[in-house]
Amino acid sequence: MVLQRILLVEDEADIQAVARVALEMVGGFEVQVCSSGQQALQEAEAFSPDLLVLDVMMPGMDGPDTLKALRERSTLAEVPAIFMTAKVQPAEVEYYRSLGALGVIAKPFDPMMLANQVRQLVEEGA
Amino acid sequence: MSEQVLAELARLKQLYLEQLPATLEQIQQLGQQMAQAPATNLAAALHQRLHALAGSAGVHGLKALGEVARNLELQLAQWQKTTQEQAPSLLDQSWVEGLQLLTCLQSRQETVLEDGLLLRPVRQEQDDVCVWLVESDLKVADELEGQLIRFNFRLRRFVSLQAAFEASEESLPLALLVDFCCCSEGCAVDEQDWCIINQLVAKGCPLVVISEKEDFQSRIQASRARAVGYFLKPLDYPLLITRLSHLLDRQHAAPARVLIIDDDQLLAQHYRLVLMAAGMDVELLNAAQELMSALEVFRPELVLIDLHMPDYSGPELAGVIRQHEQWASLPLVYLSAETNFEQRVSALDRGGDDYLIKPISNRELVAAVRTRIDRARQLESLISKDSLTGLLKHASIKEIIEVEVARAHRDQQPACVVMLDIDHFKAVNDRYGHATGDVVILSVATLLRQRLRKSDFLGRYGGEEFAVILPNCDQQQAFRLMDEIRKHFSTLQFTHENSSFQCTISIGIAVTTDHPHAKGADLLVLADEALYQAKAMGRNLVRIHA
Repeated sequence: MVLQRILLVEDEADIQAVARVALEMVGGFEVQVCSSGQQALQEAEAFSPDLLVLDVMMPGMDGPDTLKALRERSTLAEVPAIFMTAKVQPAEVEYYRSLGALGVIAKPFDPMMLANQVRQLVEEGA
Repeated sequence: MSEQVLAELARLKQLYLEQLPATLEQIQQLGQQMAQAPATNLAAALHQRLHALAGSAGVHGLKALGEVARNLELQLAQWQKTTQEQAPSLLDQSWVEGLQLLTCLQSRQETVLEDGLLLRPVRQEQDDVCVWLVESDLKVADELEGQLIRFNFRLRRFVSLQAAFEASEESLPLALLVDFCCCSEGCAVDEQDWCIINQLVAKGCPLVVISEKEDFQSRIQASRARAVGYFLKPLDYPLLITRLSHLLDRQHAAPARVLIIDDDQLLAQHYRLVLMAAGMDVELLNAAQELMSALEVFRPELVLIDLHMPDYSGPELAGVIRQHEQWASLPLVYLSAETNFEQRVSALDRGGDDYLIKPISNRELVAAVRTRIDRARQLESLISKDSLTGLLKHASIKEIIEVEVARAHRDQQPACVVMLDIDHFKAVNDRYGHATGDVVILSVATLLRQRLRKSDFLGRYGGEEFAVILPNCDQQQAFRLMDEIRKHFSTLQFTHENSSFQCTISIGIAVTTDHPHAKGADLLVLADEALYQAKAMGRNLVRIHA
């Protein structure tokens, strides 16, 4: 699978900005940012991402809910997903995997390392 | 490419820092309202802001701020989960202090929150250490400059205190040497000079007074100006340089290590953050059974112990620590809300050194811990340091190398053991005398001290032999570092009477990753072998043990 287009769902503007630098400039990916689950539902299909990166805790629709809703769209049913969250106990990682995610990236992330972490999770999942 | 990334990240961080005060102000207000009159809608608004801060501070490298916010977020989440009747107690002292801590971290973000300071920086190459001099007597200034340069101190001269003050806007020196006699007419310091001196000292510039006068009044004057040294003319250079080296040591001192034992995880986490914000390394003990291995691995300089814990009490754990000879002098401080006098006295009887009463303010906690550790370090240094160089003595450096090598193997990080020896030192002693020989030894010590990182350790291993351990340092880095030190040393000019001479050093290195089963003592032997290879190959060389 070619990993080029990443849809990032994250409500925090500050984190969005840093993640964009980390994924676009450091990682060389093409990134579309959505500030809420709702927005992701509206824009995801048109963007046709290779990967979904979702913040777990967001007001309104949280990350897991957003993923579930995105999965119901046939074009997005198979797109791999990664969660980002502050709390990463092993049990939680298992829980997020059970929701169909490849894995979890811990927040705060290191901007210089984020793209590598993403690639690694995708490679391991492939 | 990566420069571009760094510039972009820096720009984002700048934007973030600009709006941070307003964010914190909001959190502060909501947080205080919560403490006074908790309400669910307030909690929801605050929770969202804390969550955002916890996530965003970290990505901008403000790790401590992020952790404090996370801690408050968790505390608040717990409050939200609990029924309202029992809830108020959750937002007590530690909640209010956490809020204070946020503000205090923000105001210190430039100095404390940069990742570097908290994560112990790997200093690349150190700049020359600068010493400032306010002196009108050119002859004294020339002579001083000549002496200081040999010990890698760079001297910057000023004609007046005012000029020094202006320069202090840009940077601060290791020390400010002021000749009191040149401040103003008649050898007295006038009002304006006082004012400038006070401001410079307040900025964190250590003052060393040079004077012709040995009388009580002059010394009192220096003391009032909070001088850290008072030197009479003609200057005793070795003494002055030793004093400067001590100042440098203090700047280079590794962060204080504190172990906290408290069953209340939230409170322990709070203490940890407070001490971390003050620049210390802090670990929490998770299970009492792991106490001794935690001491072994982390090697705390002070242990904070809660008096009452469910399974094992503070004094019981103190007793276990004291059963081990090597921890006999480790400062143990109890923390507890215990107000019963008898109980407190009996706790001190059982191996504790001091007693802090909860609730304790952040400032008091930091001051109490820091003072104890400073004292312990002073004592330790008298016992373990070589009097000429101020470096660790043979036994001490050997012990530290043992610990650091074990740590390197455990963490699977490379560490390098280095042996260093002055070439043909006996000839120097024979030709120029022991006093000059001592100057050569002292200058190796000073050079090493300046070039090595905060986390490195160095010791005087024998007469003219030095041992160094470089944790988290691979073969290439070690070679580069030591080769620069070697080159630099060979350019130093030593003088004896009217002749001048140069000296060289030979260096041997052994790396943990090349010898996965070697202990500290083994690596010392290997480094020594490499050192002898360097000697055999003609000296003034760095060799790595193959």
